[in-house]
Formats: sequence, C-alpha cells, structure tokens
Amino acid sequence: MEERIIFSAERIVKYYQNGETGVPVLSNISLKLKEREFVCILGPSGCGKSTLLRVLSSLEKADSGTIALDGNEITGPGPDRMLIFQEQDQLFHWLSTRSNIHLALGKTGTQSEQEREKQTTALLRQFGLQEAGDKFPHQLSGGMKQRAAIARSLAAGPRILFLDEPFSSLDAMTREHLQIFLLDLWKRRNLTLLFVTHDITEAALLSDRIIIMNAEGKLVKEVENTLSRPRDRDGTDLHKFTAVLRQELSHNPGL
Amino acid sequence: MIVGLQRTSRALFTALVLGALFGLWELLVQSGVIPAFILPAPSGVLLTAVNSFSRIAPHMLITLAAVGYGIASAFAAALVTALLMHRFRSVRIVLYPLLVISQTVPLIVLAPLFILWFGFGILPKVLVVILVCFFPIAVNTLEGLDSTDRDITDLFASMGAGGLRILFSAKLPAALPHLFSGLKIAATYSMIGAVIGEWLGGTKGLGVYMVRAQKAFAIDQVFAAILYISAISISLLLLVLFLQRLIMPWHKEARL
Repeated sequence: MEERIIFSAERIVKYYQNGETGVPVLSNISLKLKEREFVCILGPSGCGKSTLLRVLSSLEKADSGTIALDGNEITGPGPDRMLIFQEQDQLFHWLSTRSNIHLALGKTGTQSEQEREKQTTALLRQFGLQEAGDKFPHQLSGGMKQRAAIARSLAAGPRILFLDEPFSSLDAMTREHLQIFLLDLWKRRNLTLLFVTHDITEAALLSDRIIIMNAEGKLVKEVENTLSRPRDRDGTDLHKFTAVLRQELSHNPGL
Repeated sequence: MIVGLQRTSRALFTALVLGALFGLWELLVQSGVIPAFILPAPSGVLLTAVNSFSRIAPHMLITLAAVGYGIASAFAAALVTALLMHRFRSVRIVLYPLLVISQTVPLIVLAPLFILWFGFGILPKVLVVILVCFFPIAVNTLEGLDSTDRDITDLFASMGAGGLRILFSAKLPAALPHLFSGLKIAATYSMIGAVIGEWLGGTKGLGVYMVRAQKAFAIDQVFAAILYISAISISLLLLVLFLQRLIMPWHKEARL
C-alpha cells in the first residue's frame, strides 16, 4: 500500500543572530510525513527541536527552505497544524477548561452555538475532563493540563499535531498513562503526529519512524520502528530496539 | 492551615506595632510632654473626626468627585494609550518620552497653573488626579501587553486569530494583573493628587478644609481631615482589590 505524503519540509535552514555572525540552529532539514504516521524526532536538549516545530507550524520564519501541506506550499500558521508545548502553562489561564476548548473551535461558519457546546462537552468527556470543565487551569493537575491542551488543539481541527516533549515535565506514572492515551487517540482519529522527545523509550514505544537530530541541528539518521503494536514497554523486543537506538545515538558525535 | 495561621499572626503583629505606636503617642500627649495644641492625641483626633463629620462630609464629597472623575478618565485614557503604544511602534516612540517627562514636572508647580487656566472649580483638581493616575496605569498595562507569553500568542495565531483578536482576546486578559498593579498605585495616589489640587486653590474639598483649619490653628481638625483622607485612600485600594478578584477569578494572588 502506497501511503500518501501529507506534509513535507524541504531544506529548512535557520540561523540565530549572534552579533555579526549567525549560529546555525537548523541545518538543511528535509522531512516528509505520511498520512496517519507517528514520527518521533529524537535528540538532545537544545538541539533546535523546538525551533524546528515552530518553523514547521509557520510560527517562526526559516531563513530558507519551504514547507508544504498536501503538496501545496504554505507560509502562514493555521489550525491544520497545531503545536503542543512541554510547559504546563500553555492553557489560557484566564479561561476555564471548557472555554479553552470552546475558543479553539473557532468560528468555522456553519456551526451553531449549540453544536459547538455539544462538541466541547464531547471533547471534555473523551479526555476524561468532565469534572474539570468549569475549573481554571491552575486548579488542574499536570497530567490534566496536558490532556486539556491536547483536547483544545484537537478542537481546532488539525490534520497534523506537533508535540514538543509534551510529557517530559510530568511524573513517570502520569507520563506512561498519557503515552497510552495518545496512542489510543491516534488510533481512533485521522491524525498525523510529529513528536519531539529526548526519551529513547518513549520514542520506541510510540513511533512508526524515528528521526535522530544532532546538536548542530541536523537530521542525521532515520530508523524505521517495525515493532508490532500494541507494544509492551517492558518486553524484550522494545528493550532490544532501544539498545539499537542508543547505539545509533552514540555513533553520532555532538549528541 | 499553616498559611492561614501565618496570615493571622502577621495581622496580629501589624496590629501590635501600630497599637504600640499610637499608644505611645497618646501617652506623650496625655502626660503633657507634648501640648495638645501642637499635636493632638489620637483619641482627640478620633473625637474631632466624629464630631465634625457633618461639616467635613460636603468637602469630602467634592474631593471624592474629583478622584472619581480623575481615575475614570485616567483609566480610559491610559488603557487606550497602552493599547496604541503596544500595537504601533511609532506611537510608542512619540509618546513614551512625553509620558516620562509628564512625570518629571513637579505637581506643586502644575497645580497652580491648572487653577490659573481652568479656574477654582473641580476641573483643575480632576486634571491633577489624571496626571497622577495616568502614568502608572499606562506603563504597567503596556508592560503587561509586551510581556505576554509567546506560546499563548502563537496558539492564537495557529487557531487563525489575527493581530487585533490576539490583542483583545489574549494579550489584554494576560495583561490584567499588570493593569491592576497600576490601578492600585493610581488609587493610592489619587487622593493625594486631589487634595494637593484643592490645597493650592479652591472653594471646597478636603484640601480647602485643611488649609482653613490650619490657618485657624485648629490642629485637631487638620488631623481629622488627614484621618479621613487615609481612610478613603485605603478604601479605594480595597475597592480595586475587590474589583480584581471579581474580574479575575482565575488569579490566585490578588492581595495587597
């Protein structure tokens, strides 16, 4: 079966101005995402992963290179590509959880207010946030905040989700819980995911494909993740695969 | 529990210090160390304040009117100015130095000029209050708008919001804590502004009342006026705090 390319980035270059000279953050990055694919970018902290996601969502301009959705070049941000951050304060803190989600539904023409309310309630339920609907973000736990952030971004109706280490500031148990939750969500919805992480096990557990990024902002290696789903976090297959990944990472100086 | 306890003990401590201070003052006057016509005792001031309430009340209303009009106009003008300065770089470049300069001109010089230009009515007092209140509200609000978290504005942009929608739906609510900080400063200064305006020329108001009392060597009346001015200033501050809690229910730290 030939999978359709939904999103592509071609030769993305970005420098950060540092006095007279520019420091490269993203060096000639090209990548393609197939429809409904789950891709992880694995790399050390501070290697420009966050910058890459900001460029891919058109929130930041690259110095050169292009991005395309369905083969059409895009230049501005849009609800087709939503970004989830690591920080737990990404919810609009002045709005209740319900209003956060409701706001993201946007004003997409034909929907009546009643329908929007119904959709919000459905999302709250699907994300196990019924009780949290009327609470403000500061009253939620870390895991609930991240779930609410994902629920809100889905309300905007994206085709691609960019996730920037979304679970790395959570405690281990909540993190494992949310990893399973995200996989389940991905299985049930028509979503393409690009998930940035520095956690090897997380990448192995979640992805169809892993792209390794080095400290100079280069994509240095691609590894297909052929482990069958559902995957066992404690299984030998996964442990063997993480060992391979660790090997790959150690081959690349500058990681 | 512990936080509640700490807060109670803190309030207790404050009350103790204040009580000791006023007790000492009372003692010094009562014992005759300081004659009452130089410095009236706290009990005397309180008594005078209660007894002359009906005489002071009309003056108080005039001062309150100047404060009310002043804060309201300053708030509206400062909000609009901050939004414009945030949105348009040119406006910021032109207005910022003017704002700062306006704060360097001594009020004591400006107030008589206002009286010269606008007469002995309420207008020059309102202008002084505006002058005092505008700057802290405008500067604080501007800073709040400038410092909105980038993740938040980015998310709005991703949802397809334009610049104006981001300004009013994201940056303004995010800047509310800053706006209220400015408003608290403004509320505290506003009474002083109005009283200075009245002090330097007028026919009614707490400032006028104080000048007359002072000229009649009715020191206890001067202190009674001061008592009312302090009480009103504190009430204004509490009012702002109350409004903040009302408008920003998500904000945890709305305290003095």
